[in-house]
Amino acid sequence: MSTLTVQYDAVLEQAIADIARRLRGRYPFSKRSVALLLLAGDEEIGALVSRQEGPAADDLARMVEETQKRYDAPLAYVLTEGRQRMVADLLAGVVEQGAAPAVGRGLARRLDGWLTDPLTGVPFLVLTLAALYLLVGVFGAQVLVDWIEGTVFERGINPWLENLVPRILPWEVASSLFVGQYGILTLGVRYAVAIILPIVGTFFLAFAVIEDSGYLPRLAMLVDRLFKAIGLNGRAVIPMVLGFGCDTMATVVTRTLETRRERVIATLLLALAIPCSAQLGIVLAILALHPIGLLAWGATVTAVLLLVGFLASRLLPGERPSFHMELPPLRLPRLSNVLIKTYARVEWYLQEVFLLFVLASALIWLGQITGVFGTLIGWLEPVVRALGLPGETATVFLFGFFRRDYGAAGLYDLKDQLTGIQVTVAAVTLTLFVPCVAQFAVMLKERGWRMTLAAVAFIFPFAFSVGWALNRFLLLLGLTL
Amino acid sequence: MKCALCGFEFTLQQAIPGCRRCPARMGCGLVRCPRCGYDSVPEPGLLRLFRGWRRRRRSGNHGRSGRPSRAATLADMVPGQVGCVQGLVHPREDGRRALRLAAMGVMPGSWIRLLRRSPSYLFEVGHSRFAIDREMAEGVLIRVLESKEDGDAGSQA
Repeated sequence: MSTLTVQYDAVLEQAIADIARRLRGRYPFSKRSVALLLLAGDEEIGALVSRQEGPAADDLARMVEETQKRYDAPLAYVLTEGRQRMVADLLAGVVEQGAAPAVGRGLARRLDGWLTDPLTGVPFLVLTLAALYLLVGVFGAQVLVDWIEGTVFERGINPWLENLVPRILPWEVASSLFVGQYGILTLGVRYAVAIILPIVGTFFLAFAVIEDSGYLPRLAMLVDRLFKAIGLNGRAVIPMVLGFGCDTMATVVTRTLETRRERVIATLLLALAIPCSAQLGIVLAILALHPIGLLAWGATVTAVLLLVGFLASRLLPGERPSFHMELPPLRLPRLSNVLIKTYARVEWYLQEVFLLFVLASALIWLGQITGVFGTLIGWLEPVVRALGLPGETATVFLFGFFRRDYGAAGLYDLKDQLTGIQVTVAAVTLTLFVPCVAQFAVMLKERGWRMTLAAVAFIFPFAFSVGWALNRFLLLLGLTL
Repeated sequence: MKCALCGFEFTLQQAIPGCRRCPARMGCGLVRCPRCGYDSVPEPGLLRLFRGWRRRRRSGNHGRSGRPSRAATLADMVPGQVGCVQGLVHPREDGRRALRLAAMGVMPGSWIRLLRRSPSYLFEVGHSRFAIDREMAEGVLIRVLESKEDGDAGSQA
C-alpha cells in the first residue's frame, strides 16, 4: 500500500516536526497527525495531549502560538489551503473538464430560478402552503378523521367497549379508567388513532416530499432576510418548518443552529407560536366553517411570532448569525424513500404519543377520583370565562398541559357548542399555550432548566392575555365569525 | 428607450459609451442617444435601473471611472460573472467564517460563478451551488473575469 503525505510550506513543516518530536505519550495515530490537529486547534486532541504530556503541554501550546503568529489566517485555514493546493495539483494531472457544467437540466433550472426569485418564490410558497392545507387540513383533518372517528370508533368500537369492559370490571371506578368519559380506550386511544394519527401522518408525508425535492434550502434563501429580523437566519427554516409537524422533534433539531442566541430564540418561538401538525390540523378543521376566524387566527399567531421574535432579538445579547447553505439540485422525490421516512416518523411519534395519552387518561382518572381534577377545573374556569369562553373549555386547557394536541382534540369535540368568536379565541389561546409534556422535556434537555422555566413563565400568562385581548377586539368589532 | 429628438430606439447599454466621453460621466442622470448625441431624460423606472446598473458596472470595472478602487469582493459581482477567489478580506478576525467558506470550496484559486444577488448570494463552485448572505459575501476577495468565455480555463479546484 502506497502512502501519500501532504506537504505544507516550510514554516509549517518545521513546526510539525518540532511538535512531533516533543510528544512523548501514546496516541492512537501518528505523531504527525497529532501535531497537525494541535496546530489546527482541535479541542479533543488538545485535551488528550494535556492529559498525556502533563507539564510539556504548556510548551506545546506555546509552539502552536508561535506558529500562528507567523500567519494572518487561522492555522486551520492555512492547513486547509495547503491540502487544497495539493488536491488541485493532483487533479490537474488527471482530470479534464469540459465546458461549464450546467447544474441540472432545462426544467429543473427554470424551476430553480422561479423558486429563488422572491417575485415568483413567494407565490410559489403560498401555493405550497395551500396544497399542504388541502392535504393535511382537509383530507387529513376532515375526511380521514371523520371517517375513523365517526364510523370506526363512535359507531363500532366505542359502544362495543362500553358494553364489554363493565362486564369484566364491574366496579364503576375501575371501568371508568378504561371506558369512562376520559377513559384510556374511549378517549386516549381514540384521540391518538382517530384524530392525531391521520393528521400527523399526512403532514409527515407532505414534509418528506418537500424535504426530498430539495425545496427547503431554497425556501431558506427566500426567508433569510425576514428571519434576520427576528434574530435567526435562513438556516432556521428547517426546525421551524419541522415544528409545524412536531415541535418536540423541531426543538431537538435546533441543535443545528450555530449560535446560542439563535437556539434560544428558535426554542422560544417553537414553544410559543408554532402549532404542531396535530394542533394545526384540528384548528384547521374547527375553523374550516369560520373562514374569517381562520384568518384572524393566522394573523394573530403570525403577528405574535414576529413581534416576540423581534423583541427577543433585541433583548438577547450575542453574535448575529450568518447564513450559508448548500443548494442541492431539485429532484423528483423517490416514492420508496418518502414512504420509509414517513413511516419511521409516524412510528416514532406514535410511540411517544400513545404512552403519554394513556398516561394522561390515567392521570385525569386519578385526578377525578381524588377530586384534584375538579379543583383545577375550578381554578381555570374563571380564567377561561374572562376570555369569553364557556366553562367547559377549561378542560380543554387542562388537557393542553399534557399534550397540546390532546387539548386541541378536546376543542374539536366542543366545536358545535361554541360561537365563531369563541372558537377563534380558544384556538388562538391554545396555539400560544405552553408546550406539551414531551416538548417540555426536550426543552429541559436541550436548553436547561433556567431558560425553559423562564419561557413557560412568560408563555402561560402571555397566551391568556392575547386570548383576552383578541376576544375584546373581536367583540368590539361586532363581527359574527 | 426612445430618443426624444431623433426617435432612435436603443438600450441603456448602448448609451453607455457615449456617457464615458462626457465630462459629467454618468453622474447627470441623462441618457445620450448613440445616434444623434441628444441627451434626454430617461423614464423614471429606467432612471432607477440605469443608476443602479451604472453603480454595479463601475464596481465591476475596478475603478476605471477614475475613482480609487476598493478591492472587489463577491458582494460586488454581477449575476453571470465568473471570478477567481483571491483570499479573505479579514483573514485574522474571521476564523470560523473562513473555515465555513473553505468547507464550501471557496478558497484561493477556486473559480466562482455568481448566479443571483438577491435574496441571497447564490453561486456555483465546481459542481455545487451555495447561498450565503451579504456579510459573508463581503468577506471574500475576488478577481473578476472580463469575458465569460474563459471561465473554466485552468483547473477548478
